[in-house]
Amino acid sequence: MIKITNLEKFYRTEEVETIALNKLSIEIATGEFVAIMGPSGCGKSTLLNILGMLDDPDEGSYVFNEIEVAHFTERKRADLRKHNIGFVFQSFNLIDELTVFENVELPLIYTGVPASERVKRVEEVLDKMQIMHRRNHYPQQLSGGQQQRVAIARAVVNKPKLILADEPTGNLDSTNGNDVMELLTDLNEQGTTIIMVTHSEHDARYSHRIIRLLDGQAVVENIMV
Amino acid sequence: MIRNYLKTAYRSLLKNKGFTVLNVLGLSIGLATCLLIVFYVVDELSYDRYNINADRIVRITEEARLNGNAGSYAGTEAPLLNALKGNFPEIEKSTKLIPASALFISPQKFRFKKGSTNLQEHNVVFANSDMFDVFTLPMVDGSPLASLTEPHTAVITESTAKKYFNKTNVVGQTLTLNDTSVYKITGVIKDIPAQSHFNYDFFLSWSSLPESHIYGWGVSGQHNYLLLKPGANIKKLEAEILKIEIKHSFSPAAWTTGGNYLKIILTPLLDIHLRSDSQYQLAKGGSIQYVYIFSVIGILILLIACVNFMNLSTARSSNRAKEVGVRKVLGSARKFLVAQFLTESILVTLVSTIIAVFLAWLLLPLFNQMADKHLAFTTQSLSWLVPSLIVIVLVIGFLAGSYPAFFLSAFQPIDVLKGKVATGFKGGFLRSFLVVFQFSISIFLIIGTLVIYNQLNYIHNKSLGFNRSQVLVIKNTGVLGNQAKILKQELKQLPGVVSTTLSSYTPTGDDRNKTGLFPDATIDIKKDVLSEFWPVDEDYMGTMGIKLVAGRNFSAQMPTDSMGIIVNEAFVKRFGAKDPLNKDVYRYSVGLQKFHIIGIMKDFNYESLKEKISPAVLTYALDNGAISVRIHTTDIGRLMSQIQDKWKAISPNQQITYSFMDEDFDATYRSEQRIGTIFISFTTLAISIACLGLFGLAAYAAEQRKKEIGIRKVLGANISTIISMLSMDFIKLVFISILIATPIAWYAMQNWLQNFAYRTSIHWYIVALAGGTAVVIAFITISFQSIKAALNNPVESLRSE
Ligand SMILES: Nc1ncnc2c1ncn2[C@@H]1O[C@H](COP(=O)(O)OP(=O)(O)O)[C@@H](O)[C@H]1O
Ligand SMILES: [Mg+2]
Repeated sequence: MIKITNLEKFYRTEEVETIALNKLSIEIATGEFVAIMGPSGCGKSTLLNILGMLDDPDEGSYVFNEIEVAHFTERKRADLRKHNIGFVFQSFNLIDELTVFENVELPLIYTGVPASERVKRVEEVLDKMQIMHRRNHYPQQLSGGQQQRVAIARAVVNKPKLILADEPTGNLDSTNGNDVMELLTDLNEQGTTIIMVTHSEHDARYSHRIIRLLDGQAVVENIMV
Repeated sequence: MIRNYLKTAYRSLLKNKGFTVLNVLGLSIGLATCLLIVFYVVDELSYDRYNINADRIVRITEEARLNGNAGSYAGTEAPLLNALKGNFPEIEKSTKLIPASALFISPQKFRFKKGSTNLQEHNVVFANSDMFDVFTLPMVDGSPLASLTEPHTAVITESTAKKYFNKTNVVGQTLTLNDTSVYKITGVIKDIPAQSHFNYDFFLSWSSLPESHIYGWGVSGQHNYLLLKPGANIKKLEAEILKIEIKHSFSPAAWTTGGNYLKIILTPLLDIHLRSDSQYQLAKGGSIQYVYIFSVIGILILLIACVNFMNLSTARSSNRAKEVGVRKVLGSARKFLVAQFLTESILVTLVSTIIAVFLAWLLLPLFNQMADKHLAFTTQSLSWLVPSLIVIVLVIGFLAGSYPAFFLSAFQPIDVLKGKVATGFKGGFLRSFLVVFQFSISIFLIIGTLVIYNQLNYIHNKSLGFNRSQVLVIKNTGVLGNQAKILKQELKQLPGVVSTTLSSYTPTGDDRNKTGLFPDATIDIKKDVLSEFWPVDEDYMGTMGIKLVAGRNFSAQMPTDSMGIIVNEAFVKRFGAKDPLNKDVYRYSVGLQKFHIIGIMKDFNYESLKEKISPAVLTYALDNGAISVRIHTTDIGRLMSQIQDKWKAISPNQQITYSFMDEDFDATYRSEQRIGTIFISFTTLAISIACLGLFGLAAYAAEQRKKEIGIRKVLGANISTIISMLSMDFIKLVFISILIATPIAWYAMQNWLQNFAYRTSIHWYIVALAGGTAVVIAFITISFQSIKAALNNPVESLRSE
């Protein structure tokens, strides 16, 4: 599903140049559950953002579903992204002014799903995430675990083929963290490809494969049995 | 401590440069505009206050209604003052002025000799030495007691003395009037302040008037003033004077029948300029209506500017919540925080005020030109300006700073640090309210401007019943005497001249002559038709392009035409006769005169379009005051020099005075034109200030919602969705403003239009245009920010954790 070759990303700030990704090459097949690990600042989020087409690589190639997307225009990337990829963040990134229902509904609005269909699909996914009883609450009224459920619901409501999760359990206690990992595992078992950044070896064990980064390069790959 | 506040304030303002610039800019433009308006209003309100006894001086004004003609007149009868003299203890002094225009000899022109040429002067009045008892007109040479007592004496102003003699001590010198009479100067007064309801350069002694020009009862042309004793009972005095008036009037009984009335009003001197709309006043007055309108606009613009300031300060304060939290955790007491915020906003106001004064000073010449004023920064104006500015700085600074100062400083530091108040941007009801307020005012002003221009346009294009284009009026042919007739004939021969006519009464001119006309010889005042009565020649209607409806024009071949008249349709309506053609009409002037209606002409507008057309009558008689020339040429310059040559051939020493009729027409509406220009400037200013504020608010909104925008983009929102989302929040407010402003503006402008007898209506597209303009301007303003925000890379805005 994903094939990156010699991917590079630099950040230039007032004469200091940071190499966030350094000739990184990775391949991920459809249906995989991959964990990405490494020390802080090694380029994990940068990689995830590029995979999610939120950001452009400076050099190298990125083939998504057999299409070279490395130098797609913003508009094309956005189009590809909203139909294929869901995001889960460490800090949930829910919109405070919208209710649970409205937050989950947003991706459907942006992909032009008609209103009646939207209600059905939002309710379906809220049910699955067991957060239906909170549908009219605002994010601030929920616990961290509940907020992350909403965020995952929002990420999957469009039935994406790929879910990118950046430290999804980073702000949660272990019980809630395990719940989230169960949810992701379920989704993976139903066919969704998942790439997850994590600091926790425990969480990484839910995945099929661990890619370890150091200074923007892949150093080790562990295959889980 | 203060130094510490100032230092911190200075740094904080510097750190938020954009915010500071927007605030200072908006506030100083608003304050400068307001200052100019204050200057204007103060000037208008200061009329005639230079008189020490201003509050005790009154003008005797007459209000009358007779046979459907109602009006208020600034002039009253000549014998009136003598009749009052000695009989009323509440009258301390009295005086009279009689302007040349009231002498009823057509047209009274004054030419004074300077060297070998004659200068035409307009500001000439006849007066008595008691003028100095009532008005405060200090003398620089001569003595009031010895002035204007003898026939053929004159008092002139300082600048007139300089103009004719190059010095001011000219008592004893003489001035030659119209080449015939010699006036001895007995006094030189200081120039009369511009803020005066009369402004004359020459005061000629009353006793110089020939006997025949002093009228008796029944002719009102004299301006009579009284200096009252303190506490005089004005109502009682008015009633007493009325009794005298009625006793001496033509037919005392007529005033109590059929809706007729006569009233005497003692108009306070200080009301003459702004509140008196009497006819025949000594100078065109101002209008209290416009003083109110401008005061309101000034206040509104200042409010818009203050609202901006408050809005931007509160918007920014939510960004500063964290700073407050930190300061509080570090132990800062609430009052220090309050002091800190207030110092900042007062500092901004102070800087803005200083810039505003400078701006106002720069703009003053422009404003003077626009408002036809001579306003200036003087030490006297500074004496009230400086204290009021200090008050303004404190009040505005305090108001604008109070929200962040008191509201934010009251937060619990822990809430602030947890970010609970930082999200308060969208819920800002106050902020929305203030934006609606600003835009309602702006839209109101846009509608006002459009209506004014629409009306001016209507006036300009209205068919007037005569043709004012390509008509040259030579206005001082009176100086040629009988040779005016020769000039008329010679001009007619020129190529490019279509026709010429001799009469000082033109539809766009100032010369007017009202007279009473009667259907029978009994001169029954109840049947009086008050009409304009203009002496013209047989070429008049042709040259002016006035249409004949029935009958015929005057003809040189018909000797009886000297008693023939041509009447307009308004006259016919008032006259009442079924078939007025060939009917007789009587006039009582120097004995009874009988006229014969030989023609009926179409109504034409000879007064401002504020008035309905009233009866007008042309009579076949010689009046050599002016020549109107209808021209048809492509080379106006050449024709003009030919006309000048003809003039010079007849009168080498006199300057020709002329103008074009369409210019004269436009001059009638100069005050409306002026209001239009002023309105458009104020509207532009109001909108600019409001947009500055909107610009700032949009920037803060985008800043506050940066993360939300990032999330939405990650979830698939495209750029146009984001832009319209950010813009809609504000555009919504503009739409609310349109709903609020439209009915108010409609009502107000409908009122203004009532001033005109001939007016347009307020079309729906004016409202649509005003609303559309506001929306578009607001949208463009916001777009700068929303486009920037929408183009932002979401990774950047979500990266912060
Ligand atoms: N927008 C940016 N500007 C400058 N440097 C950046 C930016 N984003 C990331 N970096 C740098 O790139 C490197 C990789 O960052 P990141 O991918 O966020 O690391 P991780 O997620 O593994 O902690 C770091 O050194 C970081 O400082
Ligand atoms: Mg990271």
